[in-house]
Amino acid sequence: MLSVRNLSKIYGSGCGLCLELTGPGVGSNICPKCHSIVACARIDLDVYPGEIVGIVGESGSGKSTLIKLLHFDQEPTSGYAYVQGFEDGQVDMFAVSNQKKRWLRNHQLGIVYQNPNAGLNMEFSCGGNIADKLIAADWYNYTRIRSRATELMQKTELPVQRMDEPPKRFSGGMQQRVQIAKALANNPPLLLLDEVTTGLDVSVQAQVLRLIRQIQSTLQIAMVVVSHDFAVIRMLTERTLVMRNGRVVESGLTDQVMEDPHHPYTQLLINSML
Amino acid sequence: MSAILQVKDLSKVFVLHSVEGKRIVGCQQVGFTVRAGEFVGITGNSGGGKTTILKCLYRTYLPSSGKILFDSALFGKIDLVNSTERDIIAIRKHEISYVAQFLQVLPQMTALEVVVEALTERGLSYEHSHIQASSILRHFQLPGNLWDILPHTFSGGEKLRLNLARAMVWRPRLLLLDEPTASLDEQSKMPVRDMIKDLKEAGTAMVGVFHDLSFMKDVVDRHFQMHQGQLREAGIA
Amino acid sequence: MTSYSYNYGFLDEQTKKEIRRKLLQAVAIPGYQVPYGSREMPIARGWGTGGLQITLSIIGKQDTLKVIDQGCDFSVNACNLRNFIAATTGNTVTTDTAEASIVQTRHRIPEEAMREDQILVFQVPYPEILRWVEPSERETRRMHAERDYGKLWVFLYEDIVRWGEITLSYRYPVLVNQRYAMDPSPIPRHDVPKLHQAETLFLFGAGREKRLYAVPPYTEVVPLQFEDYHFTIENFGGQPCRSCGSTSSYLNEVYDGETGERYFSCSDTSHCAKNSRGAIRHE
Repeated sequence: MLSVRNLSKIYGSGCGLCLELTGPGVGSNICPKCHSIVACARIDLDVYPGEIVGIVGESGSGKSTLIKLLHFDQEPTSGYAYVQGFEDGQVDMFAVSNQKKRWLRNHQLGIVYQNPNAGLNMEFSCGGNIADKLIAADWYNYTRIRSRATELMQKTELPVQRMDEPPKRFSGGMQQRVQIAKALANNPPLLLLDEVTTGLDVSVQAQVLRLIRQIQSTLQIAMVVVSHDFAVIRMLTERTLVMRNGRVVESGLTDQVMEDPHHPYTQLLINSML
Repeated sequence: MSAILQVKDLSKVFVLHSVEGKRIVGCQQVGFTVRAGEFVGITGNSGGGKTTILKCLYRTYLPSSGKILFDSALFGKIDLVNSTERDIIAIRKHEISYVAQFLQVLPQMTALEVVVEALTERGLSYEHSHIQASSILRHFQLPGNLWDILPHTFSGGEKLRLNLARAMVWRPRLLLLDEPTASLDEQSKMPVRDMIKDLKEAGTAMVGVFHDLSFMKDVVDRHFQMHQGQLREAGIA
Repeated sequence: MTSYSYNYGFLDEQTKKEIRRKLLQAVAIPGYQVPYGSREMPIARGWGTGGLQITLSIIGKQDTLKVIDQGCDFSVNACNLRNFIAATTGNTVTTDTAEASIVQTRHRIPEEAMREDQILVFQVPYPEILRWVEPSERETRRMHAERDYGKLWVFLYEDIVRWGEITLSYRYPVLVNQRYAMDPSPIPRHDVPKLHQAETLFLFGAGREKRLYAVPPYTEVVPLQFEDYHFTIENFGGQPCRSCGSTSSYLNEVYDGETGERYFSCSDTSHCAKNSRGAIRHE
């Protein structure tokens, strides 16, 4: 349902040799010639309906950039992506107008950021944050917006009586759930999750992971889960990509990547697990 | 009976990059066949490569060479060694089940939910799943007061029974068992044996790795011994 | 007035030309804010320089001018602007809406219905309606370009959550020609419906913020409202104006410090006087 081909993102001027002179082979993503940073290079990714794909790697490996590119928060330097629900998957989603990108973002995608400040307006109420996404999909009936927000808050195990409070008064785990409720508002077929449990207490982390699993099994939403934490990846995903220096160095079934890693870097990552 | 699984010349070599590309042989030139309703038992010393074979069959390990021909209801005859990840995921969901030595579950899921999820994941309604899950937990004599408790508080034997229940409840075509009775007392082994017999009658093919020879003798049809990565037939049980 | 060394209408002809060109652009894209080079005027920015520059750029010798401030012809601001325009053009001025060909206004639309041959010039303090919800100019421009008004709607949603109704009393957001969200300037809600399918050309000038925009005659101007929470105009509890008895005009609440009495009177003073004389035809 999502196909990404040859996706690259270079921060800086770029010199044409950036992709050749960087990568896990040389252990750096900074081009020695022009000092541009190669955040993502020639990424291929396929996501099928209803599945959860994991992307794992250390800080700076380019995994969050990849998510941001897919959500149009950043513009790719080159590459293509096709979404099944948009023009029958025939048109590159990076090549269309901003208005169409916004439609895609509001109807086909949901995102949950590591930092709730990036995904929520902390001045608006919790309900207002959910309303934001609904209004973007042309909901203009106050009562209907409220009842949909109520439904989403129940689904994400949030206290409905706190709907009119701003999320800045909520705990970290609750803020992540508000983000999830907002992301689910328009029933998107694809959800992007960027380090959603990082920084949460272990018990809260478990609750959020469980919620994500529940959503996946009841709503059959496909997800891309980015994490540096193999335990999270193992719990949520069936397939995993390992990234380093902006490249995918290994990909496979999650249990296979973890128990029978082939790339030296993946072996190092696994051996470094607690 | 038709062969559900044919393993030919299966080898697995691990390359450890952190120790200058050191090669470790998991198993070598392994070959055997499992028919519908048949139980193949593998014994051998620790580190002998028994689990390696099971993990290769489940594709948790990517085999280095050889063939694993599986008679799939979804795809027909398919070589698991070079099947796509998508096909493996589908086969794991509908045809091959694996009972690992250690129970791995999502935190904050109760024992009953773990088994129910194994069925709902495969498209069964919640009500139906609930009935079947309850029935298998009862069969394995998991005390009722544990059903609504988080499994990480369970004893080894209780965890194992839950693990078996989860893997067996949806009646896979091929069942892979890694030390399925390791931490069970004699009394708890009975329902496991009954369940295995039950599944065999229904046509499930099974490959099991055992330490527990006495238990194995009751259920297996053929017995192989693993020694230094190589397999040889130990005779019909 | 040729004895003054200033050009007719104070501004030089090049400047007027620029402003008129920008006004044409504004009329062509109803509700769109056109940037322009706002000039230094002999009054401080924030005191109506945007409206003033528009008036001075479009005024001709045959025009009759009226200037009001919150409905009143005789506030200091209205008097000063009127005197200045009169002094630099020598044009006729009036307080009667019906007689004027150009009306410059701060925060009101005259009660008397305006005609096709008249122009209403608004002084606008903050032209960007999205400033309620977004501090970045780059971002508000993107939002307008993509017709991305979600945040503004959430702002209204939040208002209903807090107060049970939309409480915005002035600068009520409107959607012009189904395309641009527009700040109607700080007119009361009472005046907002008058913008819709009007006979008159409305020109808006924000001198400090250097923006011009327009609503041409017969343009759709709709207040943002939820399907189940409608835009409403102010309600004075059925109280009439104490001077003229009108119940349909926008009223100011007046508190008499000596008698302690509270009463209502028309905000549009010339209309009120006319009404008292019986010079307004009621339909």
